[in-house]
Amino acid sequence: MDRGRVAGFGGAAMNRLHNGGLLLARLVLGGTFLYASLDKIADPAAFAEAIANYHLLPPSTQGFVAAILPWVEALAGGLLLIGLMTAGASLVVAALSATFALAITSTLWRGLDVSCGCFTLQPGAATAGWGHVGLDLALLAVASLVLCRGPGLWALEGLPRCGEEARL
Amino acid sequence: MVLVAAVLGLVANQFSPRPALLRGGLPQHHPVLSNLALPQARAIHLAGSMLFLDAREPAAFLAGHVPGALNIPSDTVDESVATHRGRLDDARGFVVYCDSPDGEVARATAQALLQRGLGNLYLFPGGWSEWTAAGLPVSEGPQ
Repeated sequence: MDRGRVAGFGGAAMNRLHNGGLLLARLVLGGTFLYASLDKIADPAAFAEAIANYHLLPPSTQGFVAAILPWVEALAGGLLLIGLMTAGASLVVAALSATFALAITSTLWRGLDVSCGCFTLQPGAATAGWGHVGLDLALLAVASLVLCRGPGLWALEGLPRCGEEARL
Repeated sequence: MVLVAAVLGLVANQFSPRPALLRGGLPQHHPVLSNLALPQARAIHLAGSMLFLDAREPAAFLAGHVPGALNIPSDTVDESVATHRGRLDDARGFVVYCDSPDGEVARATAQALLQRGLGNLYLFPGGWSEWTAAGLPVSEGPQ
């Protein structure tokens, strides 16, 4: 089956709806991660503090994570937006979402009252809570969808879906 | 992709006006403290996994404190740290409390301790008033 094509009833219209949905998923995912990276890239020191608040990483690694992680988010988000290297980008985004969900769950389990550090690093930003865990799990689901079903419409690439052989 | 992002991130961090410190985590003048609610403070106390530090004045501490806590008043941190150096060095973490609103005295003490090299510090803002209101065990007299 060709990439992005829905077999059976519905034909071209159904196929277009399916690929349009994937495009929407890709744009939401890419836009979210690109937006989330901006504040962190602008202020790595504040992001290092947000990471330290979680009490999960040793101090010697917090600076490196604060410097690199926002760029991973930005790059993956940007690639998803333009539909290039979508499989790799969605895999990275899925891994990040799962990691964030686990990290926030860990702070809630330990009773820590920490700022999420998800979208903004401003003082008084939202405390990490179950809503953030739910958002991360939703992003994980969307990333898995894009990973398995392909980039949809208006993508700059042509990668195979899960289980489909690459056409040479 | 991750490799490219790592290179970009490290280069950008070098030129950032507020770079993350790549060695040694956070600077000491930028202390990080997380708050504990009463159930977590109680669980940590029951487990004995961290040392409780009482930031109130000695008279208040003698009248009653969390069992096992050390008295580290905010205005005599250096002397108190010197007195309790052995127990502080052996502890895996610290829960600092007081009885001021929002735990401000405990926060000041915790920040002073951070600047003196202690790590893994947590604030218990509810402090002594929440502890006693919940009917949890207390000790009297010196530690």
